[in-house]
Amino acid sequence: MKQSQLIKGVLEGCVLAIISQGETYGLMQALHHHGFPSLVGGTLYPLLAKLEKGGDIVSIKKPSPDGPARKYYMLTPQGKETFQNFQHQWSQLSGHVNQLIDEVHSNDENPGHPG
Amino acid sequence: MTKTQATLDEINRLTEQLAPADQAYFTDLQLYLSTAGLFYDEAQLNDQLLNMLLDLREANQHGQSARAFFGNDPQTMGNHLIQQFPQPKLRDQLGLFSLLLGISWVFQILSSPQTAGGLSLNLVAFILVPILEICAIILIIRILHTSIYPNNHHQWWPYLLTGLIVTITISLIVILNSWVTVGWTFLIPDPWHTILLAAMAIGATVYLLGALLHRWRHHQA
Repeated sequence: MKQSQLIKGVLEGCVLAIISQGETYGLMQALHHHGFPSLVGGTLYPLLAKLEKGGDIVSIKKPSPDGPARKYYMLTPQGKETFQNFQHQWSQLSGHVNQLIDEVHSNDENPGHPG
Repeated sequence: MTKTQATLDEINRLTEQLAPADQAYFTDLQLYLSTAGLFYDEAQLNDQLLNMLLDLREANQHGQSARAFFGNDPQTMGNHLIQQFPQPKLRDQLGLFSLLLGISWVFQILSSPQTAGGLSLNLVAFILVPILEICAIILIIRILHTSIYPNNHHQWWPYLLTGLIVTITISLIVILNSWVTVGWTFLIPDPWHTILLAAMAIGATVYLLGALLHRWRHHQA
């Protein structure tokens, strides 16, 4: 399975996670830093626009010493709730997946005892 | 200068500083998004573009090109961004339609024949010509939009289609203005047609002077 397909489902939650840490700009660098090195703007910008349109994040412009004002993103109360739901879902999903993988490993080590 | 114009100026200034390949990538994307529809919020679109451009500029400093930063499929990115554009407000749509209608009517009035009794307006042309012009503008913008990222190698088709639309529109306007006149005219009697023309001339002059003054102030600032 391509990594990009796996990432698609969780990227939204990861973007919310980064923004939840405080007013953010330069999300691409933050996501690269957090283990999404192959992420491109073609994926990120439409996702940000979707989250903003859906009311999970808002953006404000703040002056920048390097040039024109930058767009900073913040979570809205709805976005905080979406992020909490994501954490809950991710915790369940990752638990189930890890359990399944552990079972596979254990079966590999003991081929005579399935399940 | 409006905020939207200031943002657009900033985008143009920053785009000029990009490497030629990045410049081409970004201007194509800008044109693709701008021609997605007549009524999308221009201020919001320009804010989005400026934000992406500033991020690209930073990526450039780390040695990344536009293609590496945004990806190899700008059209899909553009389509996904367009899907997220807020629905245009009815007020904005009506505003633009009124402007196009107004311009068309001004030219209709200016080109209407003057008779002994006053100005003879062709009612059919007065109603149908603006509709034709608005349809032609929408079609040409649509062709421009689809021609930015062509799916085939026939790069001549946008020119051919645009030429056809312009030819058909002009032909229909000429036909409407010159043939369908009997029984469908409205006379603006003297002196009202003179007052109307004078008001239009004064309005156009004031607008032109205002625009020139605005540009002059902008250059001084």
